[in-house]
Amino acid sequence: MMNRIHNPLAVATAAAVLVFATSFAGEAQAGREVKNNTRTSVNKNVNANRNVNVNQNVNKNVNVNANRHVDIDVDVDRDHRHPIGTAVAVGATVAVTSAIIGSTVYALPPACVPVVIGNVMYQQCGGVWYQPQYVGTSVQYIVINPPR
Amino acid sequence: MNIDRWGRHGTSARGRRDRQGHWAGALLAIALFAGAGTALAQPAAPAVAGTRDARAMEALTGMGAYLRSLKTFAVHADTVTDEVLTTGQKLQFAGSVDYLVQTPNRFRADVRNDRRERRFIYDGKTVTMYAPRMQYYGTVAAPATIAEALVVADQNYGISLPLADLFLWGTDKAGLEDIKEAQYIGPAKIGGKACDHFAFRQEGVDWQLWIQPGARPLPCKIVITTTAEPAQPQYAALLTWNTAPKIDKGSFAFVPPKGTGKVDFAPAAAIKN
Repeated sequence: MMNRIHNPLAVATAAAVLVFATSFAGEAQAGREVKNNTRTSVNKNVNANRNVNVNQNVNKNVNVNANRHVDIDVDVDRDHRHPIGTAVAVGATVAVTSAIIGSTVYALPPACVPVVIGNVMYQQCGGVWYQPQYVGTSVQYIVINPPR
Repeated sequence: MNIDRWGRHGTSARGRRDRQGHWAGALLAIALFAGAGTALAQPAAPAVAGTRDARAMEALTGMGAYLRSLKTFAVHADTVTDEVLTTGQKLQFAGSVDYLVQTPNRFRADVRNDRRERRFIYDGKTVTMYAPRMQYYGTVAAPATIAEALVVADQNYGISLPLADLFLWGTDKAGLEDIKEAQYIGPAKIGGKACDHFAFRQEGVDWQLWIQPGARPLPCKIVITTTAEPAQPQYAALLTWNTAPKIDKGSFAFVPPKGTGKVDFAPAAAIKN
């Protein structure tokens, strides 16, 4: 499986990445936003130009769950027009109680636990629950009421 | 340039029509038509903006027909993708794409780069996207052929599979009518193999294609330059073909591994907004 880190060096790297990502919080992630316009096929029927060049963070979302999973989702998360403030707040602070139900983020806070309920995937991050959603080939997370 | 020249003739034609009536105008139109035919038929003319070289278009058509004649194939692509930061800085990501295909209604695609890993499985009824590192999967209903499934995936869910052209060339959805310029550049070596180099232009993209000459005209390489984006990022794919791949019963079935969970797809409309 790709989702476990076995060697200490990799863990150290993951931790460093996490710090890096956190240090960006509050700085509007200057220079870290990626456009999503590079075409990978010619035919316009299968690669419509959606012009979604807004707030696409090079997302170093490293979900280090101590001795469990290390979900190394280092997607260039092709996020689509969600309020950048939300992501910054979640990434920057531990004030997770302020997460608004229904708001969308493209990075989970650290130390989330994936929970599968009735085949459906959720992420529990402290007291806040997120439901992942595919947006194109990207992943976003919606803050939800606790499913259980 | 041709258009400019024809434009000037057109002005002249209108002037004569005014003096001599429709008959002379019709004769002139015939003369112009003949002249245009001669110009296009000239062999080995240097590429002129706005022209579609017959050799390049024929190569594309021939390659499409050959691709559609394959019942099964596997293709590996080593890819390089530019991503543009909002500052204008370009980053380059290496990756790979592996397609395993059984026409008309099965494929598996493993798409990897430094940031992302996705597996796509199409079984004739559904398309599943699996994110192995996060252990997410999502499934949507899909039409009965690969080409249709790719169109639905993109238009309904914003899922653009890389190199989808491989499934559309040689069909009535190939989009050849969108090509504004086509030219043959010359012979080339791709990975030590002889290939012919062609270049095309159309709205939003300039693209280059290298095609293996001879009886098996497979694409050797494709480079797509997104001209709609000011930084002109490129996607390049070096292709390795296997037209007799091993396919077994499980090749196109998705069985969620333990620990995985389902996620929904946002509709493409949500992405556009």
